[in-house]
Amino acid sequence: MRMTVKIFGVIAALGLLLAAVPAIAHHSFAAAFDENNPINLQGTVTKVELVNPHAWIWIDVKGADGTVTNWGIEGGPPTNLLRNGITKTSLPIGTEVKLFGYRAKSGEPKGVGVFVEYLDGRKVFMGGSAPGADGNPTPKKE
Amino acid sequence: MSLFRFFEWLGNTSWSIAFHESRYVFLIVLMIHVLTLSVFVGTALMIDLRLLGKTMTDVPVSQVMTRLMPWTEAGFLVMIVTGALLFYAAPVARYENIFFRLKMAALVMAVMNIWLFRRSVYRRVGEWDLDPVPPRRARIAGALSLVLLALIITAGRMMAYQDYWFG
Amino acid sequence: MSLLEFCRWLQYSAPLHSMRESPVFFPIVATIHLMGLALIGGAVLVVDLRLLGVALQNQPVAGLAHDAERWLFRGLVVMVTTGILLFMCFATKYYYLTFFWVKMAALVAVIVFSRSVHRRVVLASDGEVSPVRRKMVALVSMFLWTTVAVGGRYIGFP
Repeated sequence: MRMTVKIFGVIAALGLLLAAVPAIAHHSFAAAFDENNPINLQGTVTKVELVNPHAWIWIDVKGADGTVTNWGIEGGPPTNLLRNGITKTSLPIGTEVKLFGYRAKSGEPKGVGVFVEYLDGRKVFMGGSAPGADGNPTPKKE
Repeated sequence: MSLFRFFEWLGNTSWSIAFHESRYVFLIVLMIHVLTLSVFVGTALMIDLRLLGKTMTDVPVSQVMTRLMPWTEAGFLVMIVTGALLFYAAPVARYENIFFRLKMAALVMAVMNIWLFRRSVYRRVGEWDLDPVPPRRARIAGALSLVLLALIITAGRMMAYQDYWFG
Repeated sequence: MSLLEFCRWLQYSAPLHSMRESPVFFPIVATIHLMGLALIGGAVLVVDLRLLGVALQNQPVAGLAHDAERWLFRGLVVMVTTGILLFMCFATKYYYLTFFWVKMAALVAVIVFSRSVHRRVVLASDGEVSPVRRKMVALVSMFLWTTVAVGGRYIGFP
């Protein structure tokens, strides 16, 4: 009886593990962002996800050759963005904005955001883990 | 209806969205979940260390078990409730997170380990209750529990990196 | 050199920089930090729950405490080491966070408290200390440790 239970348990556990395999989309083994790779983007907002624990702003950026890439920029939790003035209605789809941040090491069109800049010059900090995202002056690296 | 479809539907319920987008509630639930591991894993750890003969060796094993387990169980309940809420915030994302799946597999194995231990070698605890170092099978159960708990913590922490490691 | 400049220097120092190039450095250190949390939690609870009279009631506190002290120390070593490494990764950010300094103050306070008042009460034999005093000491201890933990979680929010 005990042996049966043990075997069942091992199979159940392995099953759960194997079920995870299709969930792996890419094999881009990189993590976080590259502080030496800052990105300055300008594009139109396609989606704003004010969700926990990280908010995401997605914009369509037109490259020099005309191709459009959809970039995803990560920020802090909603509480940080809301405090800095970004709400669900302050960035409607289609708004032209600038985003400054650091690129994801994986090479994908993703990054961690420092601030959103409206075309009128207003800057709003995204309050995430990027240096400077809390709005405080970052001492320059040597 | 497939599991995926069900989780998709679940994630679109108004409460799920509200919780996912909440200003404070999600972060509070997450904080309770993370900090309660100090109670759940903390007391389980002390029990496992006793089973390995590494702590409180002059205290009968049954005393350690009966006096600390209620706290382990209470901690476990809090972890399950807060964990379920955190799952509910974004069911599809959790379901597709490989680290979440690993965590659940480890959790199932950890619970089974405890259950099997109590049904077998612990039944005869009277024979080895006062031993500073319990018999081999008890030590194995303790060691296995520690490894699985470590795995649960690791997988839980790594869930945050799914996006950047597996696109 | 100001404190902020020191933080910047720590954050961008050469050995740390090469460690940070690894994508798994921070996650692994953060995970071990959590395991330390479990160890400290267990060691603290065994003694403080006993002082409160809600666990291991048949055991004299002093006996439990000698053992728990060893494990608490090990837990602290793990958490302080990983904590320093984590701090170095985001030193300039933490410098500006009030809660980081609250956490540090509470940590110093609880270590001092544990080694003085708390220790005396714990090691005293059964008749010497009133149950009320024991419970107060346990509650202060648990409150301070909770402050350290909550402070840590707050700065951990991205």
